[in-house]
Amino acid sequence: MPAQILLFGHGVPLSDPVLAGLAVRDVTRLYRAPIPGSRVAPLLEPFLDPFVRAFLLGLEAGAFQDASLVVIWRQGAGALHAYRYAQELRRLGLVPALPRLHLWNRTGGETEAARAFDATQDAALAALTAGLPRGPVLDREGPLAVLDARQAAGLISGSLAFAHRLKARATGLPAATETAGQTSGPRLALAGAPLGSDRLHRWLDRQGQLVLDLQGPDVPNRYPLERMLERRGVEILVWQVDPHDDLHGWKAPATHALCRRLGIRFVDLGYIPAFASFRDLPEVLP
Amino acid sequence: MTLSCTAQAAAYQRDWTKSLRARLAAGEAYAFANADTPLEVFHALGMPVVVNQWWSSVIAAKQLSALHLDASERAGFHGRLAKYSALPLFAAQDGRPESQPWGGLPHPGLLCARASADDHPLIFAEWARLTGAPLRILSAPGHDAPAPDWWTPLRDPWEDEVGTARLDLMVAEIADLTALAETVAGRRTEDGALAALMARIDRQERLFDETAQLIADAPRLPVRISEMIPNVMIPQWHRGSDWALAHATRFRDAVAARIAEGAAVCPDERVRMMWIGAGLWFDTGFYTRFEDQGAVFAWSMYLPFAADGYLRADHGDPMRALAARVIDLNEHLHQPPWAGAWHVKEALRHRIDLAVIIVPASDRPSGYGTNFIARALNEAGIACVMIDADMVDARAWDGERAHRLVSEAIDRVLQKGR
Repeated sequence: MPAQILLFGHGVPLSDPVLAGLAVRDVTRLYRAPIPGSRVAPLLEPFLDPFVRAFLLGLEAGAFQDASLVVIWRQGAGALHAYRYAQELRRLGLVPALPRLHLWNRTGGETEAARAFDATQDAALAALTAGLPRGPVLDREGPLAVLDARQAAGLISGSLAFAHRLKARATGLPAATETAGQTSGPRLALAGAPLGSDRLHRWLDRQGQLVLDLQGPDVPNRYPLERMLERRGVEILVWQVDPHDDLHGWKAPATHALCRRLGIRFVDLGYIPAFASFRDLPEVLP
Repeated sequence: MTLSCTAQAAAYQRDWTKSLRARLAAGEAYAFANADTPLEVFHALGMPVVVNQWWSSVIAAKQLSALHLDASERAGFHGRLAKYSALPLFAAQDGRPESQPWGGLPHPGLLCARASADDHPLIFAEWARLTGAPLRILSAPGHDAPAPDWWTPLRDPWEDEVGTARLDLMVAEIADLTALAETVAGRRTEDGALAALMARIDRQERLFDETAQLIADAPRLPVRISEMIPNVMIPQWHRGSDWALAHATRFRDAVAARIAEGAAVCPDERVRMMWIGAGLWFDTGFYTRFEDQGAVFAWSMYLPFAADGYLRADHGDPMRALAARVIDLNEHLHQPPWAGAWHVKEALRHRIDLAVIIVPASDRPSGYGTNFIARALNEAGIACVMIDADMVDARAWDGERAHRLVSEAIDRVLQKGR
């Protein structure tokens, strides 16, 4: 079994040249409940980002023990806190001492200074992974584009497309593209906070055709939002945020205004937990 | 009896705001910036700067927060978004002079925040959309191996503690911010202005350091935190100015005189408390409500942080020293391991019996890390009470419950014996 590098942080670029050929998996959206008698859970504030919580509980449970390295992508929402908490829990002896944690601090800025800084960060990660075996470079972008095109054409259910994307991230393999479960009804877009379970998607499959999934992972970004909504003939944009969201809600009024201008119905489901259960969902679209 | 310098500080800020309005009416541009940004850039240039969190506290203190927060929710911003850093935006979206402190402010000429919280770039993007002002978001690359006792190395040999790559980035971004500010202001920063400013700030923060130590060493609390805060923070918003330096001296001398007189906020002082987190701006009277139990709030972060958070030897490179100051400025107060270690150090220095920690669930960067802080304090033998509250949202404040929780904790401390 190849040495695994686990990545945490929304949007972490699995296919970045620094990681090319390495066996990587993205653990950002994996759910973890506390282990019995967890010593970590009482230290996590109830409003902690749900993905950060799951990551830390996974760390305590030893879920990442087989990895040679855990890389935390600074740019991901909440990721710096995941790193800070993980380090502190380790300092306190509350989580296993291995695997090594590494903060991938890239800024993504366009200035010369930002590029120089990012280069130092990439070099540090490259040095850490220098001894790890590398295999062939996978084409992840191609299958994702095919999957997105099929979703835009209404050839696949929203839940299956999301499951393909989640699985691709969790395994590090290219996304499956086979289609099934075509649905009918109004053409939907889903936006707002990232989700970790497909409950909402399965519910949406009963409400219409999810032709644009903007909550990720691997959100299509070739075109501006307005153009994507128009090109895909979206009739209803479904909005939701996690009950402790402090980020995505900032975009709600502007998204609502855009929908109003385009004649798209904006449906706000309110607070939907990232790892939703059916109890969290209404019976039909409000 | 309050210190005379307390009223002087409040009057200075009121007059400054009035004069600012006059300068702005005459066409001068001002910067609107978060508290954890390098305000020194604007001070060195002589460009007025309004600090987001200060303005937020003023809106809350004027009991205007409910009006603007309610309106923000009607506009589609959900009610669990951060409020402390967003209240001025919501007030600006309202725009009516009658619903702003002192009639409000015109649109800024420049906006600046640091990506120290995930939501700050989004809040300031809304500001930019509203005002059309140019926006600079400074990077906030995380420290990969923070030392718990950050306050010691950061005062002088900060290069290794901060990290050269992060400093290089921050210096470049401060230089870029300076260039933008100069363009907006239409003038250049005078040669040597930043170095001179940094030297005066150093003197100012050393005065605050002395004052904090005087208060820590006093047998009983000589001045309430509700007085400490304006005497520190108003000069901090104008740090390095002649007035700020003079005021820091006045404050230190006034505290020293009060201690020499043997004055005490609570003659029957039996329990010393610390308030952890930003101020409860809409109800600062809360800090005095336990004095009949012999309990005083002897500490809030603002005075001691003026020293530990700001003193950075310049080593002949004031802009790099400024970068070392701001690069983790807010993070030191909230994130593990920094925040726990610092609050323990301060609690021991001030002989604290009970820590009251504000936990703002809807201001996650401020709420995060509070359990780690409580754990560190508990391990140091200091009791803690967690209060669910927001710094500026009076709507969610359950004052009776908070009073009961703190009062019961004081009783427990008294029963246990100091």
